[in-house]
Amino acid sequence: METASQALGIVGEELAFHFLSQQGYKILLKNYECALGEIDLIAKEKGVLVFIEVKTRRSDAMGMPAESVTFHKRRQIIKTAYYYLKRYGIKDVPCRFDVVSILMPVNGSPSLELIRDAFGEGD
Amino acid sequence: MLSTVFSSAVVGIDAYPVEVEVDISSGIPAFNIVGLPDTACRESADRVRSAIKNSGLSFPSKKITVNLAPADIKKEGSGFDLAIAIGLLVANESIPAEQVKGKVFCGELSLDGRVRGIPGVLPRAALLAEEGSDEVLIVPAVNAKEALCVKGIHVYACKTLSGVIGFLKGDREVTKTSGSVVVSPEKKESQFEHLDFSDIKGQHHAKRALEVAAAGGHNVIMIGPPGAGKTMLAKRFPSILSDFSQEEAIETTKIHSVAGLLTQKAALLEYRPFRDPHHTISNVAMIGGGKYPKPGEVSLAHHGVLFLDELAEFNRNVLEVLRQPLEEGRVTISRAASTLTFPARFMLVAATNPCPCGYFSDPKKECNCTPIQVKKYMSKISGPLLDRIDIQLEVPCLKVNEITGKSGGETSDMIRARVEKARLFQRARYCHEKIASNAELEAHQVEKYCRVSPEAEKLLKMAIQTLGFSARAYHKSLKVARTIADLEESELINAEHVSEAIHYRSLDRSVA
Repeated sequence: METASQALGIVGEELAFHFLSQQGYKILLKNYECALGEIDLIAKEKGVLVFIEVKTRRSDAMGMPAESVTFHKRRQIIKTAYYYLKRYGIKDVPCRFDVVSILMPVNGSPSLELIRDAFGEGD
Repeated sequence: MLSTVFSSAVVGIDAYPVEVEVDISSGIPAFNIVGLPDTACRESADRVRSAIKNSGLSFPSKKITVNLAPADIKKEGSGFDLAIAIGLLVANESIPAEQVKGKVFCGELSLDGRVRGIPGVLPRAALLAEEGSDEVLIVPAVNAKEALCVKGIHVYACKTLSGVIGFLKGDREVTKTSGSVVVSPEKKESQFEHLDFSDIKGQHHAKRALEVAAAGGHNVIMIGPPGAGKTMLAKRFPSILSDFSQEEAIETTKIHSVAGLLTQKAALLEYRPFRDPHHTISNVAMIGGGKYPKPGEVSLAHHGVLFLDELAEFNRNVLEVLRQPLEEGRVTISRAASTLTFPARFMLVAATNPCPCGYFSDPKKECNCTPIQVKKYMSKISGPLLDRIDIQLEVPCLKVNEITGKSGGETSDMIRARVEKARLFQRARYCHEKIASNAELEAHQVEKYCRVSPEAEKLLKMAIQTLGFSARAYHKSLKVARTIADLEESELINAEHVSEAIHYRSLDRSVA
C-alpha cells in the first residue's frame, strides 16, 4: 500500500533525477538504504560526492519543502552518508549535501529549487 | 591543509598567547572548534562562515577543525573570530602563510564581515610589551586607542575582514595606528565641571576631613541625618584626589577593559574611578566572581574611590567580604574553573545615618527610634570593618543661615593642589618603603615615621585616659595626624595636628 504522500515523494524524486542529470550530476544511486536511514540520491558532480535529499510538497501552506529537512533528518542523512563511505571504503573524497525542494501544486506545473551545500556536520 | 595563526586570550586581568590551528580536510563537511571553547566561542563557527562569505570569498565546504591551543585552558568570548577566519583563509590558500607570521589577531566578526570590538584589548597589548616581542597586534578599530596605551608595540587597527585580508596580501595600504595615549591632567577639569566642592554650603569640618582623607589615602565614614549633604560631599570627593600616574591609570584601565566598561572615547581612564554601587549589591558583584571570574566593584574602584551610601543598609555579607581587599589591596576569587587575584586598592568612603529614622543626635528633630533599634542599626557595621576606617566623621544638619547663605568656600582645584603637595611629601618620605601613603603604614612603621612633639604626646595620653581610646584608635589617630602634618609639610607632628586627628574619631568618642 502506498499513501498519497509516498506517491508524491516518488514522483518528486523522479523529477529531481531528471533535473539533476540535466544540471550535470552523474547519479550513482537512487534510494540508498541502510539500517541508519535512507538517502534519496547519491551523485557525483565535478569530483565531489553529493548526497541529495529530495523533498516534495503540494503547497507551501505548511512552509517550504526544504524547511522540513529538520535537524533530526539532517543528522540521519549524515550518519547514513558516513555508513555509505565506510561500507564502500571511500576515503579522501570531498563530500557535500544538497537538498532539492519541489513544490508541486495539484493543478499547475512543479517548481524545483536546488540548494547546494545545504548543510554539514554540526549545523 | 594546516595553518597556525596567533591570537591571545584573557584570564583575570592578564592575557596569555593562544595558537589557533586550522585544519581543512576533505570528507563530510563539518566545522568543529576544539580547545575547551565556551558557547560564544563555539558559535564563532557561524559568524566566521557568514563573514567570509559576505566578504566576497568562498567558504570551503570541507571538514574543518579548529584547535585553540593550549587546549586545556577554557576559552571564552568572541575574541578569536578574526584569528579563526584568517587561519581558515590561510589553510584554504587564499592568504600566503608567511604573511600571518609575527602577527597577533584579535577581534569579533559580524556577519557582514565587519570587525567588532572586544573586551580586554589592553591586557593583550600589555602581554606583547611584557614579552618584548616585535609582533604586530591587529585589533578592532574601536579598540585601537586602548591598545596604544601600551608603549613599544606595533598596532594595526582594522574595520573589516576584507580590510585585513587586503592588508595581509599587500594590495591594500592599511595605515599603522601610532601615537600614544597618556594621562592628561587638562581633561580632568572638564570631567568635574559640574561637581565642585564650592557647591557645598557650610560643612567646612567635613570638607577639611575629606581633604585629609584624600591626602593620606584614609578611608572615611560619614555619619549624619538625611539631607546633611553626605552624598553631595562624597560625589565631589574624586575632584580633590591627586592625579593618576600613568602606571596607576594602566592598571585600573586593564580592569575596566576586562570588565568591558571602556568606551571608545576614553581609551585610558583619565581620572580615578568613583564607584557607587547600590546597597542591594550582592557579594559577588562587590568582590568579583562568576564561572569565569570577572572583577567586582572593589577592583573597578582600584586606585580610586568606592562609595557606599547608606552603609548600614548593605547586606552584612557584602560588608564582611570587604575585609580582605581593605587589608591587602587585592581580592582572591576561587572557583572550580580557576583561582584568580584581582588588584583592589581603593579608598572606602561610606555614608550612613546614625539610626533607622536618621535623626539620632540631631539637635532640631526628634529621633523616634528605640535605643535597641539604634544599637541594632549601628551594629550592622561590624567592628573589624570599622577598624579599617581611619576617619569617622559626623556631618550635622546645616543651620538656617548656612542654608540660605551663598554657596562658596574653596574650589576643588584649590583643595586638590594641597592634596597633591601632601602626596608628594609622603612619597618622598616613603621612597624606601613599599607604601605610597600614610593609610598604608604598618604598626612598626608608625613608630618609625610618626614622630610627635612632647605636647602632642601629652594630648594623646589624655585621649587614651579620658576618651577611652583603644590601642587601635591610638594608632589610627597617629596616622591621620601624620597626614595633617604632611598637609602643612611638617616632619614633626604637633599638638594641633593630633587634636584634629582625635576629632576624627567620633565613634570612639561617643562610645566613651
